[in-house]
Amino acid sequence: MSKPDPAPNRKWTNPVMMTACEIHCPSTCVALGPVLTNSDSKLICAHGGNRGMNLRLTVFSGLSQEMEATLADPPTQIMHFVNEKSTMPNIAVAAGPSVLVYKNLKPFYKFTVPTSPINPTEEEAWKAVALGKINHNTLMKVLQKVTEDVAFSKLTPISQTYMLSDKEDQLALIEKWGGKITNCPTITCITKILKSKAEGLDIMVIATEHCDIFFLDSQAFTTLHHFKLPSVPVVIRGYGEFDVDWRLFVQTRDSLIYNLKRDTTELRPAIICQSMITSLILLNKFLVYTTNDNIITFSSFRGKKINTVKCTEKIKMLEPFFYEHKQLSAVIAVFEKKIRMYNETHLLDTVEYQKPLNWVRYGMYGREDSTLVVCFKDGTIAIQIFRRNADFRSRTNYNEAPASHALKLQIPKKTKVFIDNTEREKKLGVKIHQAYQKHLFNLRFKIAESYQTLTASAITTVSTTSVLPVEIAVDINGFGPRHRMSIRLLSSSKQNLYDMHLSMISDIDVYEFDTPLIPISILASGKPYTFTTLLRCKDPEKSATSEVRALLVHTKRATPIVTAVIKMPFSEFALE
Amino acid sequence: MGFLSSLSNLFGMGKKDVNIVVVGLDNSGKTTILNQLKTPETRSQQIVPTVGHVVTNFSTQNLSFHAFDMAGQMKYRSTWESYFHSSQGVIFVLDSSDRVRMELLKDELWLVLDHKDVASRGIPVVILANKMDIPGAMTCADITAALGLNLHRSGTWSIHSTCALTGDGLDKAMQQLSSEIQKYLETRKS
Repeated sequence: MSKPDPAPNRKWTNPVMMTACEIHCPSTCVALGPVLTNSDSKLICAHGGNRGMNLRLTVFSGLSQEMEATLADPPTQIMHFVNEKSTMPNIAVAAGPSVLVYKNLKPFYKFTVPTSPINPTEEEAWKAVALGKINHNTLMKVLQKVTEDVAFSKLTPISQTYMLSDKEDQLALIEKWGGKITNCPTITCITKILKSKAEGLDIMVIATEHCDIFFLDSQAFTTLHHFKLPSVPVVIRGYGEFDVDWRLFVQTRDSLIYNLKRDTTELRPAIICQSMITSLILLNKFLVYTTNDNIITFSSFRGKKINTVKCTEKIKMLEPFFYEHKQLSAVIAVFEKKIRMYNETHLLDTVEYQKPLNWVRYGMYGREDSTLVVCFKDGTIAIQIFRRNADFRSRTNYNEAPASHALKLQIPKKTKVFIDNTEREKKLGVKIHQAYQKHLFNLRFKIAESYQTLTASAITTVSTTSVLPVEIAVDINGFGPRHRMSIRLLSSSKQNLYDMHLSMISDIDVYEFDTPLIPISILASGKPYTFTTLLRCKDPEKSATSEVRALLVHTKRATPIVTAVIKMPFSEFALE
Repeated sequence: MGFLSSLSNLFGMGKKDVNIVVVGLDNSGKTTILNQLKTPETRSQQIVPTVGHVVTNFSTQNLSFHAFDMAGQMKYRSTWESYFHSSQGVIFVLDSSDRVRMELLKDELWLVLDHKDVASRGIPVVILANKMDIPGAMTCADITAALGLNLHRSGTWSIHSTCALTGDGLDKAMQQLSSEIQKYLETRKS
């Protein structure tokens, strides 16, 4: 029966393409989830647009766009969350210092993170510039002066932008912020933690540029818990339930990973990474992170390394995979043109794509959970569904090496002889080398010499000249005193050979030939020729034998082309 | 015997009992189709997602059907195959407007068509391309091509576009199914 599918052990269905969607957003600005109550799960993307233009929140359903809303600020990250069971789910869009909450794509609430005190000099300078007491150049100078005392990152975000922008933008900033400068830190990342399984509501977790982490009640937006870290968090991942027991894994900009709990007071990183961490996810009871030296590391929550995968290409991102039906879990690693699925011990699957990838997102889309949404660099989307009969039984090692690499080398033990020999080699290295060279030279000389004699005497049955390769084979028939000698010649040269003679040479006292010289007018290449001559043993009573030679000679060559040396048998007496 | 059976057919008695399995992805309209096949007075007004399976009885001119209405949700799909060996026909219902899951559909349909209890016994498979009334729904020909059905040589399958809400195309499909099942029963007898 013909199968439509060339690889029956594929894990995913063929991709269904959505080509007209033009999705160009980072993987953080994507969420899967329903927009209305009890509706199918949708794909929600926040577009950062270009220079403040085209900022959009788009919702895709099926293979087409369903809804769209405009955004005011460029989004950092979006998240789908539930804050009330009965009403619609929400979409949180982190943009600048605020989180905007959308219900049914309508703005619903805006939460802005608490402000921090501003450097007094900085504040005064901004007030002065707003009142027109100083101009923009002086403000710049004042700010530069301030950075000599405090770090650049400790200034307000507006001052930071001001110092990095050109004159026109600076004036625009003064116009906009002048007298009302605030120190609202930018949100770096957001995540959610389930409040409790029974309630099914989410707690929002927000991390800011000022190293704060806020746990927010998603209904009243009050702070439930707060952490202050020594460095800026860039990725946070929640685990557990807020009312029962939870963990928060925080990756900071200086490649540390903190493991925070409710009762954490002393902040100590669980993982200190030498190279830059590029992506961090949670997979069951593992932390999985990638570094910029192309290594995927599986580690326990406490930071103990379980396993590492060395990859040959840059890993773009990681995505957790969990198939509830069969309790399968894996991590999806995204490379330039392929995705690979790993668990903590094996490589489980590889899927290759024709186009370079941007990101993937695994989750429920439409009615089908376990859907993989693959976004390509060109803005198109492919939708693949995990096959019902797929499993992870066929698995390979991380970096499959040929079987020969696994063979163990037999390393000899260090015997006394070995050590003595090594000592000797160390001491007399030069001499040993010279002796070796001498022997090598002698050997080469011997070989050359014997070749020379071989070509000169031409006593082999195979021709020595490569130009005229002729084979010769000789048979002697008869018991004697008369013998018959048949000589078979086979030329394998490309051209036909002409004007040759077959000459029989022997001790004239012992043998007598009927035709000692046979003319050969032609040897066609590849055709065997047989020539026959009779010879007589002159004196069988002597019971003497000698060699007979058959030479193939050419009139214009000094040496024979080929020679056959025949050892004659003892001759019987004549019958009468 | 021939006289007796024609006599019993005349009185509408002794209709042959056959089992059929109704499968398809969730939200494709399996329960709605079976509801439509029942007599008007026994129809239920509200259709909810099936859990496990429900047996529905209905009859055509010469056959009395026991239809196993299987649940289509992902977690129940693995239960479909255990009903094939005891049935004489399979109805595969699909949503012709669901383009996102076309590849998944292909996967599932081929699993049914290639299942040993379907392929080796040669029981008829009738594919109902449901929801043809939805604007933008794929036609039968499109679906046949998308599902790669032309490649399926062995086995008996046929495809019909239907609308479960109005009952369009159902009669024709059921006639085809009845005749296929009778043909199948004939071949098994001989």
